[in-house]
Amino acid sequence: MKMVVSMINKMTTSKMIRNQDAQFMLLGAFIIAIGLTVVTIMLSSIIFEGNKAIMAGSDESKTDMVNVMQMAQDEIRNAYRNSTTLGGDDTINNFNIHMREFGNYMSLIYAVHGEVVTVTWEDWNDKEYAYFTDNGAVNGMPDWIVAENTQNSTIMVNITNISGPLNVNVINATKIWQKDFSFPGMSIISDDDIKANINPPYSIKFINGSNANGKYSVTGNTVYGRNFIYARDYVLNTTITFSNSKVSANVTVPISVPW
Amino acid sequence: MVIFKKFDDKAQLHTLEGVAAAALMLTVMIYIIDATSMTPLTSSSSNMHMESELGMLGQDILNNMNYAEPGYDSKLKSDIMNWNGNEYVWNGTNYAEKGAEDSGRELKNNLTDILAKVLARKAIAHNVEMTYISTSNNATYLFSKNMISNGDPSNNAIKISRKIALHDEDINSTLFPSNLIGDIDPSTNLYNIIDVKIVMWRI
Amino acid sequence: MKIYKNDDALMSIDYVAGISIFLITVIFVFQFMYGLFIPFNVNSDGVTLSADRVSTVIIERYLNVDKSKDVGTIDQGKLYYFNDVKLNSSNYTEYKKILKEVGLFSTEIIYDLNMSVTRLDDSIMNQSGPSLPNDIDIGQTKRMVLIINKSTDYNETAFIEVRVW
Repeated sequence: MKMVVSMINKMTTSKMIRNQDAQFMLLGAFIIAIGLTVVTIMLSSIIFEGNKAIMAGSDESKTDMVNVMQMAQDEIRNAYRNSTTLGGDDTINNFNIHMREFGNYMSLIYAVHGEVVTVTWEDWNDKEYAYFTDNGAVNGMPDWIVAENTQNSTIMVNITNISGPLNVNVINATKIWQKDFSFPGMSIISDDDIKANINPPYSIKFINGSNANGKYSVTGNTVYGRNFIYARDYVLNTTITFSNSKVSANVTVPISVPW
Repeated sequence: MVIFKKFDDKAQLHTLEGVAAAALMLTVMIYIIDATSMTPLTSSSSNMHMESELGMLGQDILNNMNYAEPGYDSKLKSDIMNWNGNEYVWNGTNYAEKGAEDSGRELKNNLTDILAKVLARKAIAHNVEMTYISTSNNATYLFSKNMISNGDPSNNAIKISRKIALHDEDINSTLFPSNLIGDIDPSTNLYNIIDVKIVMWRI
Repeated sequence: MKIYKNDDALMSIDYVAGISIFLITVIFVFQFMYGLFIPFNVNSDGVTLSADRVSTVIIERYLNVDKSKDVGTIDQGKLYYFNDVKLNSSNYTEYKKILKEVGLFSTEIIYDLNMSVTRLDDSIMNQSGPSLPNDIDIGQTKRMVLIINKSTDYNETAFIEVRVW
């Protein structure tokens, strides 16, 4: 009797100790769930990266920056024209006040979009007049066309310093009429002057512009009836800084005033 | 003689285990799909591309309007200067005044020309909003007024903006609402800076 | 003393029910996830991005008006030269050259480029490049530009559509 009982005991206890049932269904479910999560996260990263590539193609910061530069250029020219037309003793001061107000309001209106914009400029106090090259600097192109397809025009040239001959050519399809300048001073070539020597339509070209600096202005109209004005007194360097969360830029642009 | 029958009295929960496993997998699947917003369309970037194309179209429209020869005003600037401050809405053929659609008063300028041809006829709804600076009581505020308003934009609308500076000598039209858009700086030639915003969405 | 061991091969119904529920769910989950992958196989991302980039390069670098501070204004003379000479698909050397310049020509893959200029009322002004194929993905970008000619005082708004495949 005792032997039987002990045998039964052994059988039951060994069963309990060696119970190796595993719950494979739950284990399988867990493995599949983890696998799903991993795969979906990878998929979602792929989609995100694809969309980001598309979004990066059209960036708004570039157009905003170009907008700031355009506005600064127009404003400097307007401020210069306005302050010099009003005249008086305070031209540079008025110019600076105008540009300061402009800079402040620009920062305000761009701050609404989350962009920090600052505009700094220089005035023409103690500044030399621009050279007669295409961009106003001494190393710009010395021979360049100022106006084309012109019907009527008046050319004003006011030379401050000159180190070699400066020529103004009026060119039409058949003839070139050249006017030379060798000394400082103001000269005006009127419309009648030009018409007496050459027939419209013509283009006006400056030759050897790097030899002289001063002011010029060419006003008139084209053969299509459109009025134009090209003039330059100084070249003022304007610095624009632009930054938003993605990009930060600092650009210095030389701006010719008044047109 | 003793006969022992082995009674297996272990309880089996296989069914419940199967149900629990199934519920676990389905819950995880629903949760991750919700969390990462995966739909059959998500993997194609055509939605994003359509939005960016709409944005580029808006930029191109504003670039076009902003072009000016030296000494002349751009089309956008002359449109702003000849605006009377009222809101207009597209009625299928032209932009009629909001609130007085039968009065026959409509907006016809360079901007409406381009918007009618490029956006309105291609089922792209749009609002044109002008934001301007206003100074009163020594404080500076920004106000907005719609020039064209066609309803509330959808979630994926695109907004494009361009700023324009107005000067004292530009304000000579009797239509211009000087009581609305005032001179922020009477001591200089600067009149105001306007932010022109176009909001576009597909319908 | 006999001890009877029960060694019938039996599956309890409980087990059958549980494993069948589990298997049905597994099959359903895999079917569903497979369906989410299908759109990945058909993808025209590459050509669309290329079309965007090429249109920006063409409009802002090749065709833009000299010394202009405006984006999106193009010179009519440059446009004609580009259409007639550079993007002339019958002259293969020029075509290859322009593909190289805009970045569509490489040792691994060569794309094709087609450009068309249409007026605002959808009438075609100009179309250049090889004709469009019927059977593959084409990436397209549409931009609006202002075409000006300073000598003749001409200005007109037009759409430029660039297609890459």
